[in-house]
Amino acid sequence: MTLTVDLVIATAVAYVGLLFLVAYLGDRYSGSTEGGLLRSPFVYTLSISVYCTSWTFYGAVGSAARNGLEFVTIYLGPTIVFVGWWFILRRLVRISHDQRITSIADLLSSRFGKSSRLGVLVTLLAVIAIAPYIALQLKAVTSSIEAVAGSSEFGRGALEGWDEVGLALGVAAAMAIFTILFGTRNVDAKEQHHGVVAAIALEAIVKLTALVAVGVFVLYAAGGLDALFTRAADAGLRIHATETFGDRWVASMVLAAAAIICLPRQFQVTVVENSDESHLRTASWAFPAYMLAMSLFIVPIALHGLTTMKPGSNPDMFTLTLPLAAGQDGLALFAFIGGFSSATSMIILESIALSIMVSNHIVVPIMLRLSSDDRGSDGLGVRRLILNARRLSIVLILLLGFGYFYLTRASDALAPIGLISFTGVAQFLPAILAALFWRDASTRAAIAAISVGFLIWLWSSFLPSFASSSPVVAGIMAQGPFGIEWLRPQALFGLERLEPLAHAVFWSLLLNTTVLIVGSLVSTQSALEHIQAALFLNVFRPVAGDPSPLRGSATVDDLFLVARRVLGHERAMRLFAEEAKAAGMASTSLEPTPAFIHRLERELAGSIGTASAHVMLSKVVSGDAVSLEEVMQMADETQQVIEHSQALERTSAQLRATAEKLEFANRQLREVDLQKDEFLSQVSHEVRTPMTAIRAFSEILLNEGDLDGESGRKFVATIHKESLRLTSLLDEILDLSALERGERVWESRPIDAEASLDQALRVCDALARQNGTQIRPHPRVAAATVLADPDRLGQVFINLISNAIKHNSAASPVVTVRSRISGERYVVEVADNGAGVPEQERSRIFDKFYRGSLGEATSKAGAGLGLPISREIVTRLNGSLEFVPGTSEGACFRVTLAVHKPAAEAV
Amino acid sequence: MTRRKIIAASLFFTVFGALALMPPLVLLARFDGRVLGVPVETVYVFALWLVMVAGARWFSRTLPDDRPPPQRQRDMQP
Repeated sequence: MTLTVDLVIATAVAYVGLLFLVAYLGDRYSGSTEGGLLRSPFVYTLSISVYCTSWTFYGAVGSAARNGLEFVTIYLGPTIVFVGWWFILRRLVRISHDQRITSIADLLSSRFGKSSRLGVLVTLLAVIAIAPYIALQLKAVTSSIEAVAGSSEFGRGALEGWDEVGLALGVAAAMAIFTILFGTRNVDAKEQHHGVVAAIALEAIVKLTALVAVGVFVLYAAGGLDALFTRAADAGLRIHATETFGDRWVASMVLAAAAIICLPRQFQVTVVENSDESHLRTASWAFPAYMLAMSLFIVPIALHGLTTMKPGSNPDMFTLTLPLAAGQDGLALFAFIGGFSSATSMIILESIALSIMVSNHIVVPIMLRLSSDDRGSDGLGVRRLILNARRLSIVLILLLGFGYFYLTRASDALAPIGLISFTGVAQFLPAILAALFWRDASTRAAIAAISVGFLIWLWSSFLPSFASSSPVVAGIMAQGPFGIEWLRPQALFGLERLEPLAHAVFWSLLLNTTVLIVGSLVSTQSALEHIQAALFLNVFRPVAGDPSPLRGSATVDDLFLVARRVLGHERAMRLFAEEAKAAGMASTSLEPTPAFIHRLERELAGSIGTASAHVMLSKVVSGDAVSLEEVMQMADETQQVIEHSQALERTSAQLRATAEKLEFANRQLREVDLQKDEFLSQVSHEVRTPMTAIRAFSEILLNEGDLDGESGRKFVATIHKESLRLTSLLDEILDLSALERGERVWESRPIDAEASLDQALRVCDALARQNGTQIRPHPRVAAATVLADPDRLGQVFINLISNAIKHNSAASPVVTVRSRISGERYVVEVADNGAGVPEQERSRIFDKFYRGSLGEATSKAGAGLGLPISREIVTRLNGSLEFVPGTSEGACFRVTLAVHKPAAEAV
Repeated sequence: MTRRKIIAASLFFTVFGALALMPPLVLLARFDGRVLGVPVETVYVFALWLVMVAGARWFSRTLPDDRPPPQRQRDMQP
């Protein structure tokens, strides 16, 4: 077989014919059981792979040859979005089904209060942003035909006399006719095009097979992967990705992820053409797998091309020129058809999607405004108008694409052109995410945000692409407009460190998002925005009945006329008949319920978009706006009541907490009061005993005049002894209460605690002898410096030792006094071998006036204030006094004090 | 696993897949080694891609079916 230009063109035309046949059959059988295949998840997945255009087929190889691994980001971004389908795509599909969304402009317009202005804005911007992308396809098809012509020995054949521009114009014209024939045969209710989808799916198979075939051929020709890479490395090519994983890598991955959601044709195939949500489930892995298969052979083809083709040949065309150079004409033709497939499928779907947006958001609203009452017309008028508007916009879109191609024909690489479009449509992403997840995003903010993002895009991404063809643009790029340096398109605000693509993505998306967030925070939503936002956010929550924004009076005749104008007589009849049947009455006496008006609006929206359907119905249904405001007011009041009751709940919880605190404080007060009473009665009791004695003896002395001197002195001695006891008791009480209130001030200074202990032992020596108690003062440390008042510390030791002596009831009483230094603490223990402290009394021995059951029995017991005073003193010395449990016989008290360090004193 | 846990797992799978494809993680695979002649970073990216496809397939079967009733009924009919 000899490959000539004529043969190539003939094959392309024949291929288009085949596609047309598939589309025709697809439409014909889509409703029947044989059409089941058309609604299978795999056809759905294949149609999504319209994402892989000639940018993939040709451009990715060129990109791999120029920038190495970078091309995969374009497929990894969508892979991430599809793997996470549950979170964004599922939501989009469900919302679009529920609201009969027809395009991305319709989605945004619908969420943001059915705003026509937003719809127009998104449509216009999408048309502008897609122009470079269409140009890319034209360029790819033109270049591929040129590549065949250049290698053919038979010259240019039928193309004799056509230059590249003429050829591109020819391709654009052919594509326009083809798309019009394909996509605008009818206005579908849900804007689903089963035939087109079938043809696109076929093209997806063709382009994948063609690319894999070329890949296998390359591997075979190169002798395997290892040989291929080794030869490339030997030829001096950089096979390692040295600088690939930088800001550009991240930027293009983000862009690709945004594009798979925001590109009008991807929205069309993924969301609008989706007939069952479970198809998305399959596509979530099958579409990434498809892209993986498409990308597998890109690097080998690029490297093989770079090593074997002569220097200076266009790497974008390697997929085609490699088989051509090897004389594989059949494979080359197949590759050409593969590339042709990827370009045609993109152009067809993109221009269908854009034309739907143009007709629904620009043409129909204008028509509605111009013809305010042509209700008598038969419906054919509107439908014909819509179809003609779509045909016209397809021509316009392809013309724009061609215009861009013409202006930028000097630049050679394919992939950068595509990235310009990606950056443009990515400006819709913040608004879309806000539509899905943020209730308070407002229309005005969305319009401002998209506009700002787009201006930045125009300046920093779109404009620079003309630099090669326009000296003015090149001047602006170098010096900035009017010499203003910080406005240079690729170094905005002086940011020069980012690479141009990352720079444009960063600034446009940053400012876009900022305007959206700040704008939404400072602006308020209209009633309709409020309702639509709730519908979008609560899409997965079951609602009781449809909330109908349209309510009020409308006659069935009026509604029928509107429906007929848009849907056509037959479908309008069917719709009304169904409704009448459901309501159980004749279609003539049908009452238009709010639910029915809502349903009708959705049906109309499926054909002419949400905003236009809303406007059309609002014209015939009166009382619409009033009820809306009322509903909103009621909702706001309810919201306020809820907020108030929440505030009340919070306050009462606070009150409850305060009351609990008060009760606790009260309980404590009562306890203190009780303690005070107890203390008073204890004190009175303690005071009373000596007082009674003193009174009794003084009465005897007063009354009995004949007392002998001996007895008299004895009585006076007793009175004296008792008053001493009384005084010491009162002293102790005063001391203790002063200690407790922190009124006793003494000066702590570094002293030798051992000296105090010795002093205490000496004082207690007499008492010990008197009781026959043996004191064992060891083991002891030589000296221990602590911070204390020597008299107070001595008081503690004396108290402990004398207690040990007094309460020792053993036959041969022994008191052991030990001291040691463990770590930084000085520890003194005073132990006896007496009866010890019974288990149940241990917790009370430090209480005031507590003497214990044994103490009560002995006459030697004091007032029971010694231990409380000692503990108070030790605590004031930052130490501790405690009863040591666990000793088998006798009681043991331990005093622990911090060892004083001279270094600390120096500070 | 409960429904909520599966959904959370799917979210983390997606997020970590994305992280593993971005610097700095992807830079870990950037050294001058070759696997069967193919540079190691290329192998890393494609292998990770394959893992994500496999994971997505598993999740596509495990994630709960919460379509609206009419679509579900249609599947049950023969």
